[in-house]
Amino acid sequence: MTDDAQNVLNSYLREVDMFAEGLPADERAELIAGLTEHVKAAQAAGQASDVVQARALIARLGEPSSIVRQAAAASDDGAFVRVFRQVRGTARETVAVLLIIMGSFVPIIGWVAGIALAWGSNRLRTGEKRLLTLVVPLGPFGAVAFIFGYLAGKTSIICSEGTYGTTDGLYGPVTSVAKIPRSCTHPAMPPTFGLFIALVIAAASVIVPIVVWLRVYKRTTTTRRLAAWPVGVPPLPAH
Amino acid sequence: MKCLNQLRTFQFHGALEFCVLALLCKDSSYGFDLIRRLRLADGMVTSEGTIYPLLSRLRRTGLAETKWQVSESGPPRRYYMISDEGAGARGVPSAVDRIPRFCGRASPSDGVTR
Repeated sequence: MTDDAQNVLNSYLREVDMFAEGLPADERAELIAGLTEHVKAAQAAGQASDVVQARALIARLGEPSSIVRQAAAASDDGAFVRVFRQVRGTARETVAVLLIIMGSFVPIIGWVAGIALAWGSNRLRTGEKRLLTLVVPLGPFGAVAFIFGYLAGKTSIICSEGTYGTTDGLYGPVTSVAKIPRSCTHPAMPPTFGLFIALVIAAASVIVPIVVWLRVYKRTTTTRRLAAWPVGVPPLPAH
Repeated sequence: MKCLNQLRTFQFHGALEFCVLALLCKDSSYGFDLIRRLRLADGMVTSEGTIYPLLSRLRRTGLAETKWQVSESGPPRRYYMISDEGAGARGVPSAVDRIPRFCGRASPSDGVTR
């Protein structure tokens, strides 16, 4: 059993639990306990020893939203409606991503607030939270600060020119004056390359949050589409 | 194809409850093992995870009972067995008689002892 396989399975169970937020607490706990027992039994039977097997096990178990949908349909009256009304939209993630991108208007605080919202979200996966936090710290504001503070220094040419005098003794009169030749320090990288890096960083600070948001939006929409399917659970036989 | 599978899941869901009850009539069993037996019937279970909500429902409606048992080769397991109420439910006894036809090859006769 590799750590990667365990992570894949844990992530799947977390996702089912996340979708099951609208189920009654005891039914939610029973569902997760059943699936956890299933996963452990599969591991004991050697059917989830690597990532490929773990993914195959997950594929057999089915989509988290589909399992929760069946659980809601089999639940007490009203649970089905409650589950899918409680599957909230992506409002929190939208605000988080906007703050992360627009955080430059309220430097640092805006970005930190966006990141805090993102880490508190149960719609975002851990990898996505890390992406949002680490790809461009402080967002576009950080990118701009980096560009001006670092690349500007690296790409500018600083020249100096002047004269110096030779004196007779330490404090004696100046006997001759010589001109210091003009000298320049050249940038570490050519200006065009620096500009390219700056543009990439600036673009990443906007594109990464947007891509993450699109992923979350797509996942939520898929859940809603599944929720709109007619349910075909016939009543149990009368006694 | 995914939609087709899902349709089949819904279509068989009612049949699946009878099938699970019929299997439990013969022998108590835990989720992983039940699914293994049901998997032998082609097309009966397309999303194995949905068996757990079904089992939970059978337990809550009193048609099945559960008990925890320690396993030699893994975690403790929740065993499901049919209740008197479940065994007397209309349709279940006749479904048990028709297991081979009704549930494909998922009958307990495939090496599972009573």
